Parts: sequence; structure tokens; C-alpha cells
Amino acid sequence: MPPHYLLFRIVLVLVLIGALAEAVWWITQPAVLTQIRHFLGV
Amino acid sequence: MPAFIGIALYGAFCYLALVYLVGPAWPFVVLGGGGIGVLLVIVVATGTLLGVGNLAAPTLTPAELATRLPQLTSSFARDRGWPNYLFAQSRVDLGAVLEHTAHAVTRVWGLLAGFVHHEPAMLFFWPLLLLPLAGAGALTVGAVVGAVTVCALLGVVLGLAWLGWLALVGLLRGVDLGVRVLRGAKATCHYSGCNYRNRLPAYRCGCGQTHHDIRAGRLGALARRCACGSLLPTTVLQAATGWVPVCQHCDRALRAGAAVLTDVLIPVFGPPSAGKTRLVLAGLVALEGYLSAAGASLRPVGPESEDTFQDATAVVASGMQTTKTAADRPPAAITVRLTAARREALLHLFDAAGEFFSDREQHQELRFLDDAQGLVFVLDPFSVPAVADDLTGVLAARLAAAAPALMHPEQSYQLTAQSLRDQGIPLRRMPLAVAVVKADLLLGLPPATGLHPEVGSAELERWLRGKGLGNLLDGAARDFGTVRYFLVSSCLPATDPAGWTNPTSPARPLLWLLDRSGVPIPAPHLAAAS
Repeated sequence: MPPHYLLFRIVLVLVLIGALAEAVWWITQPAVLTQIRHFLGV
Repeated sequence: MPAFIGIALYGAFCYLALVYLVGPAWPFVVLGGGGIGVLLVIVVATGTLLGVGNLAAPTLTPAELATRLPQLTSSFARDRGWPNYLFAQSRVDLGAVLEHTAHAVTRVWGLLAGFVHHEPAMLFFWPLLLLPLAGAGALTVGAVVGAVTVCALLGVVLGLAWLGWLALVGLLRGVDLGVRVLRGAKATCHYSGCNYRNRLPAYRCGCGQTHHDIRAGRLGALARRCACGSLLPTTVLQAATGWVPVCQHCDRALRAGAAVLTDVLIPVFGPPSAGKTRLVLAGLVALEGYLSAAGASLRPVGPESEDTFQDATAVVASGMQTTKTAADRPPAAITVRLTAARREALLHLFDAAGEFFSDREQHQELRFLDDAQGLVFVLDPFSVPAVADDLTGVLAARLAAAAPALMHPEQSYQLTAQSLRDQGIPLRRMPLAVAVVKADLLLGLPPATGLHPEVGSAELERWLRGKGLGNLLDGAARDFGTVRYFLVSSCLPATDPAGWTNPTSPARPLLWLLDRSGVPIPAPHLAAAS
């Protein structure tokens, strides 16, 4: 298997991790947390 | 009565379960299920891309390329090499992510259905089943949303990489082709009977695999990897530094520097016994002497050309007769490498037997005529009736010694020119050098009155016209873009010891055609005729 396959895949994984981190950061914003709490009824 | 009490209790249980368990818990279950669905996709995608356990996507091999990449318009199958990740493996990887995700979601639903199937009594407590049902549904929705998002995200990244690849490939191809077009580089097959010529040769990997199109593309932008694992360059300019160019037609090795150096192809044509071979051999030796004196160099390329050049040197030095060119097969090229003014060029001279030019059907075998930088027509003045008729009596021996060509020059020219026109070859773009040979025998004879060694092209043309060759000259002027006439001797020394060129040097037609082909040759210095 050509080495650049692994390089491409690592880049794609890093993009996914970055997107996940971004999503977590967004969820932890007070405005979003308030809406989640409201949805959960707590 | 007991039944009524039982139904009442069951109803109360269902009510209480819905109000106090399902009601408060469902937002948590839905949110958690959705989140797990999204996380599931990300975990599966990460595992698939990193090849963790059973999640690893299958790797496409070069053998599967034909079914995975678009069909080529070329007459050759796609080269066997590893494709760039963007064009085949990326789709396989994304497909594996979706497949594994779908499999995981299906398993969740399968577990739920299996539980109910094995424990049908649980249906009695159906309010309690609503929570796992909602959880599974939320997980499915989360997985779908996650899969769409992940595919879109990775698709954008791969799309940006594809745009970068496109720009890089365009740049590499443009520079590679542009430099070679400016140089006038082509790959000429020198083998007898092939003579295929194009701008893009094939290259052979060390494993024996022939790569017919090494240009940057789906098999790699900066480099390509052969099925054997070896790295190959993606430009012809790079490939010339160590890879063997191969003919696209006959799959045999070409001369080093093919398709990279300026490539000049000059066929020599004329009737049998006109002196074509002698002109080619003497012309090469004279050209070598001329270039050496001018600070440039000429060296034969390949064992066949080296042998021919050695024979030519011996023939010219000894003055012996040239052997008749074999007429049973088309000629192989005599290839020499010229180095002048820091510019290198490959010169291919094709010397076919005159019989090939006296038969229009045999012309078809001479593929080198199709794409030449210029042509040399060998005109034997002793085969012109107006000249031969003047050589009677005591001069008849001079005529016999000249061994005139067996066909009238006009007939020979018209046969070749007509054949080239029939093939649609753009002759108007080609220069034609008409070499009036055997000057050493002709000068001084009564029919040569008015001729002298330094005779110019226009003066020589007038002399030929006076000998009744007007039709030939008019035809040549009509067919070719430029025509120039040279009076040459293939027997007199081409240069003096100081390297000065004899005015009847057989190198002069070649020097003129080389100059017109963009090979910078120093201006000839004409020595006084001895």
C-alpha cells in the first residue's frame, strides 16, 4: 500500500477529531446548554 | 371481579409507567441515543481510516484499477500502478464507513428485536419497551445525520485536495510538454520497420512492466508507484534522468534522450544507385569534422549507429565503394547526438534503398517520411539525359565510372512526392534539400560548364533547369515550403586539416536542415576549393 494512503487517512481523522471538538465546544456554550436543559426538563 | 381488578391494576401500571418513567426519561433517551448515533459514526470512521481491527477498509490493488477508474481513450489498458488515494481508495474508505455504521445500527435493532422475540412476556410491559425503542430510533437518526455530516465533511476535504491535485497535475503536464515542445523533442523509434514517432514514449519499470503514460494523473501527481512498489517520475523530463524510454508501438528500448532532446529526423530519398548511402556516410563524417572544428561535437548513439559510423569513417578514408543498401526491409535510423552551443539534439538519418522509392506500395513501409524535419533528395546528375547524352566518345568512360542512377530523377521525385501527398503529409511545412551529388566527377566535364564548387543554390537551380529538369524543380517548389540546392561530393575530403569546410562538403545539406530545425550550428566556413 502506498505510504500516502496513510497520510491522507490521518489527515481525514484529524479533520474528524477537529469537527468533533468543534461540536463539543459548541454544545458547551451557555446558550446551547440552556436549550438542552430546557429540552431535558431540568 | 378478579379479572376487572387485574385489568384495573394493569391499566394503572401502564399509566404510572408512562407518566412517571417514560415521560420524564424520553428526552434523556432521545438525546443520548442521538448523541451515541453521531459518535458511532465518528468512531467507526476513525477506526476504518486507521485500519483498527475488523473496521479496516479493503485496499484496492493495481489489478482492480480497470474496474475502478474511468476508461482510457488510449489504445493501451491503464498502466498497472497504485492509484492516488483521491480516485479509488477514498471512495472505498467512505463506503466502508457507511457499511460499518449501517451494520452497527442494524445490530442494535436486531438486539432489540431478539430480546422481544426471546422474551415475549416483555410485550406485556410495553410502556417499558417504549424507551429502548425511542433510544434505537434516536440512535438511527443520529447515525444518519452523523453519516451525512461526516461524508460531507470528508468530501469537502477530499474535494479541496482534488482541486490542488488538478492544479498540480496541470502545472506539471504543462511545464513538461511546454519545455519539450519548445525544444522540438520527440521520441523516434530507430528500429527497422517501426520508426514510430510521437512526443510521449513509454517507460519500463525495473520489474519489466511497461508504463505507457507516465504523465501526472490519477496514478500520481509528483510520482507514481508501479504495481511492484517502485516509484516512477511523472514527467518525461524527470524520466530521462534514469529510466529507459520504450517505443509505444514496438515496445523496444529507444535511444537515451528520446523525447527530451531536440529530435531531428531527416530521410534521404532518391532513385537506386543515386549515391544516397554514400551521401549519408560521407555527410556524417563531414558533419563530425565540421562540428569538432566549430567546438561542438557529434557522437553516434547505440551500438548499430556506432558500427555504422565506424564503417563510414573507414569508407570515406579509404575511398572504397559503398555497398548496396539492402532492399528487403525498411532501414533502421542512424542516430547521432549533437552538442552545440550548450544545446543537445538527436539526429536520425534514414537511408532506405532506392527500390522503396520506386514503388508506391513500398512507400507505405517508410513511416519515417510522415513526420520529418526535412528531406534530402539525392539527384545524380549523370542520370539526367541532357548530361549523359553529352558524355560520348572518350567521355563515355567517365559516364560509366559515375555509375548513374537507374531511374530518371524526375520520376523518382514524383513517385515519392505523390506518395507523401496521398498520405496527407504537410510537405509545405518541410524544407527540401536537393543534393546534386558526384560533384567530383561532374566538375570539369563539358555538361558542367558554368558550374564551380562554390555554386549557389539559385545558380545550381538554373543549371538544372537548363538540363531539362524544369518539371522536377517546379514540382519541388510547389510541394515544399523551402527548397535549396547543394552541389556536393561524397568523395572529396569534406574538410581540410584545419577543419575548414569544403564548399562541396556532403555535410552542407544536413547543416542547412539542422539549422532550420532549430539546432544552433555555427555558420559554415568555406575553404577555397582545392
